[in-house]
Amino acid sequence: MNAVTTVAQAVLGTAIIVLGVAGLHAVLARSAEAGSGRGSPRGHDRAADASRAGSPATSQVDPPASIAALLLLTVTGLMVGSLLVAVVGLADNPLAYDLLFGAVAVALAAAGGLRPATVAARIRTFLPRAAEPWKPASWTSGGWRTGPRRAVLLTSVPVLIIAVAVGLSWWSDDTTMNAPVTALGATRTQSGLEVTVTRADGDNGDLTLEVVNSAGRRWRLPLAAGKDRTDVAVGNAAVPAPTTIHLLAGEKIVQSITIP
Amino acid sequence: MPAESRPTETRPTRSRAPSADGAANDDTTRISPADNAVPTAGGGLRERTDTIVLTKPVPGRAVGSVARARPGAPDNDRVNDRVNNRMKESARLPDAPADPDTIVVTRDPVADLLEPVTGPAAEPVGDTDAGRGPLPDQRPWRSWRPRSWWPWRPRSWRSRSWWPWRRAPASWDGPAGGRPGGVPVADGYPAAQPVIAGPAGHAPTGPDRSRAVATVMAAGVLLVAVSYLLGRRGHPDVGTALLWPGLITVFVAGVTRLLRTDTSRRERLRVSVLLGVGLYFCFELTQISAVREFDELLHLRTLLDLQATGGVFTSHPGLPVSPRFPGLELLTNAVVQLLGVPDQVAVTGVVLLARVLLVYGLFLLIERVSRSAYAAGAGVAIYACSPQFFFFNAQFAYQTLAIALTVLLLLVVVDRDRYGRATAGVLIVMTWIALSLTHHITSWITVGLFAGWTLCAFARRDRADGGALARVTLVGLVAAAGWALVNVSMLGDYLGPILSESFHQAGNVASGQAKSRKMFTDSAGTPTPAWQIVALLGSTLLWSVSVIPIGPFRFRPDTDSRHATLYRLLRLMHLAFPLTVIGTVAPRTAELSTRLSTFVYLGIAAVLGLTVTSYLATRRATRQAFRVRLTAAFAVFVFIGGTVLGSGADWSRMPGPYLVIADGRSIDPYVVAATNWANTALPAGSRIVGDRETGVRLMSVGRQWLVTSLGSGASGAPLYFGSTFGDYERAVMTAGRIQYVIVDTRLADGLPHETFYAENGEAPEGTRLTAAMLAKFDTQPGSVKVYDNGPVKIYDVTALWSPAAPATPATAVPAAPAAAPPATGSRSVGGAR
Repeated sequence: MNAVTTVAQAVLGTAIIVLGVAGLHAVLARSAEAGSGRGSPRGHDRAADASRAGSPATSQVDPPASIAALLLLTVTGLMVGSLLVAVVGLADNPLAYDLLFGAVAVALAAAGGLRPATVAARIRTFLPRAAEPWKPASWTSGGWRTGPRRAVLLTSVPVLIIAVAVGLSWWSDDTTMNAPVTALGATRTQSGLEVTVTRADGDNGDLTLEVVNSAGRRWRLPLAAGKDRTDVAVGNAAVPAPTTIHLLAGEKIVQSITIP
Repeated sequence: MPAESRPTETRPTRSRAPSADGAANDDTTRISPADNAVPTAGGGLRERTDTIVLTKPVPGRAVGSVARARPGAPDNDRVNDRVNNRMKESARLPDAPADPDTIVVTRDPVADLLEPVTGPAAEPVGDTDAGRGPLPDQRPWRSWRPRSWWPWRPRSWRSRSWWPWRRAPASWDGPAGGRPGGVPVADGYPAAQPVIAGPAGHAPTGPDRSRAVATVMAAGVLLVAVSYLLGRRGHPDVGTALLWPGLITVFVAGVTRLLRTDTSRRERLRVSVLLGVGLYFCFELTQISAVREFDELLHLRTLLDLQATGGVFTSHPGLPVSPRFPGLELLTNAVVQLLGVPDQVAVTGVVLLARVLLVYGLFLLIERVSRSAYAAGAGVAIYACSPQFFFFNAQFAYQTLAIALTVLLLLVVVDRDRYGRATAGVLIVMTWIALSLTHHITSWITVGLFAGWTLCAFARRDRADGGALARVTLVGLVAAAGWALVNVSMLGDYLGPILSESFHQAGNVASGQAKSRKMFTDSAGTPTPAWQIVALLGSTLLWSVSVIPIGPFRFRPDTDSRHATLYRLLRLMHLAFPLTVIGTVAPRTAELSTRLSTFVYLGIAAVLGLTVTSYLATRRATRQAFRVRLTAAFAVFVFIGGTVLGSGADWSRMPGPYLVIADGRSIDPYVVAATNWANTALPAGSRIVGDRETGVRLMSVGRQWLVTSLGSGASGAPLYFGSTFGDYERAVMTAGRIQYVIVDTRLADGLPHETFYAENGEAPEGTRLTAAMLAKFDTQPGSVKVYDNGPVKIYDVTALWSPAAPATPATAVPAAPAAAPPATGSRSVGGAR
């Protein structure tokens, strides 16, 4: 995928997930309202629930519980949906995921009563309220203590430190693991051999390939700096197999392979 | 004050007055007045052999332990309600005459055995009615024996003259620190009720320090990152010296806040999640650019197969059951396909999500059981000390996700009445399906947990709860057992040898025919540092002692009637801890017991979270700070012990130079280069033989078919152990139809750090590879070296098969990469099996 496709897929996928989670949240909220309207379905708990009426044990702990249900249904839904896609053999196709989860997200949003007009109205209501503390007029000393600027600033510190730690580790891990090594490999192609050479950092331009056939004939192919693949023609009658290939650094054989 | 209002920082730090309208602070998770009601009239409680006679409610004598009604009473909860109602009435009317009725309640022998309910939950009540609730100096814990120090005495008793060894009467006021003089008194009894910091006494009076905690934790993670950087630059010893301070910084930053009594519930939840996430980053930074742990590479192969073939349930050369339990990979692939992110990003994100779910769910679960955010936070901190939390359960492996699903399933079932029948049913069924699709053993253990929970409920004669739990268990049984039956032969091939070998080894050790395994050293002879041995043994001893109700572990806080059932189950899991210690005598049993500890520590976290916080919260304020610090120090000690136990020797935690068969330490640029070449130059699905690390990486990232006895019915490992190439080697190659042999000449540098070079049972224990054994492929006619980067060489050995061997379906000479697309290659190999 090119960059545009990647970005488009990321945006679309994010939108699908956000819509699905929002719809699921709305469905759960409706379900909870309906449940509370009916009262506790289990008489056994009725007394205990009644004794807890007004207690944060029920009223304040419920939101996290709803979040737990939301997370759980999101994870299991993604898993089961992905299973359905994989069962029909389309697990390698992003479009199949977009279609399935997009349809599910729209269905959930509809079931939860998330109408576009309602959402737009909520956003229109929410944005000015969210932007209000950020206006300079509200940036008093008291506003600084309680406003979002301080909170964002304080939150950004650990995030930045973590970002530095991750970046540092990624860089060091990637550069260490993918450090180039001097290697020689060969595979037979239609026209002969494809020889693959990778260079360590210290091998700059002084490498030479020496090809030896079974008749003892040998010839050398200089390797241009930065070039890691060289085709060696062995498909004609003048070059019988097997062919030995040496990788020389100066006159010293560094690596050696044999192709039948 | 409305219930939704937040606490302000101007409040007293350790106590608060009840609100005018009786609503409690929303950061406080309370129990019902009935649960926490403390009658204020004098009275007595008599004990007989198996009955309790409540003549009058007594301060400090909660009846939460009443588990079975007198004969004829239909239901425990009704009895409890009846008792609690009486107590509530008494509490509302402090000067009411004593209830003339006598309630005789039979004690539940199971409850006594498991000791789940010998003390109150002691949530900060913040009660709705002024003039009732716990006394200012109430200890939120109980004992069946009268306590001489029970604080509710005539005021004259509480003078310094009576108790000269106590500093001041104020210290009697418990962790809340409220002075009796500050409490309104009506008719000799406190009319107002300051909230005390009991096990749930997270009086949210302190400022929210979660951002500061996050900053300190991030600094610890950065220190860990620097240590890994030093290790990669060739200084693993220096890196290890920095690693532990970094880990301890992350852990201590969380634990110190979680153990404080004045931390709010919201902060506890945040810090708990931060603790789990911080420790996850500490592990993940060792391999942030690409997974390279053995188990992770096995599951990465399943993910890559899913993406290459588009289908599920493909063949797997190294772990055949993995594609049959593809929940983790399906979830990861959904993230990859929906968001278009690279595999490594999705892998990291999914494991991070699983970690958040685990910690979040565990916090809420313990909170539900204990009704205490304080205990929940402490429980999370205790679970962070479990052996597999830092290392194994942070890997891209199916158990990582499955354990999170298990915890959330328990939480959903506990909360099922709050969701409504339909929503709870969907949640439970979906979670069982996901769990059964994710990990076999975890799903079976979870079914066992629910079966035990059901039995506990029926033992309490709570038929309604037992029936509901039985239905949940039945759904799980159908899902887990049904899916296991579909894959029964594969599971038998995988788990059968492990179990039989475990029983065999344990039997040999028990009968004296074999010695127990060598402790504190890996198979290459690398010793564990002495200080780590001390921490390991000390933490094991501490967990073992915690089973015995002595000292700080003596206090068994109360739970409410229904949640007591789950508490008993968790207590049983806690009691199973010694089994994990006994299991370490033999290699295979040690592996099993370490895996088992993931579940045992769920019980330990819940039970000890309650117990330890009860102990801390009921001490005198002047000594409480010291006890909190002491507990934090013990926590660091057991965290080190658990981490060492779960992750092994230092080399397993620290990147660095190459080591012989040492998980990530054996994956270096030479192995990566060989993998990259094989991925592009060899047909996908070529049958290869390699050592444990290089072979599994070529199998996973390189998309080759590693010949193993588990996945292919033939092992190529014996090829390495002969100095010459003979008929036996030819037969091995022919049987496994081996096309390529990968030889890392550094294998001759020493014994493997991970038990074996290529496959379990390859050679007698202690057999060491030599350079001559590995060099035989260079000189053997017919062995063709097609790749060489110095240490790692790849040989085409097709010509060495026995003459009568059938023709291989794949080409003997490597063809161009375009000739064999990965998907096709993989399918053809799968079909060839």
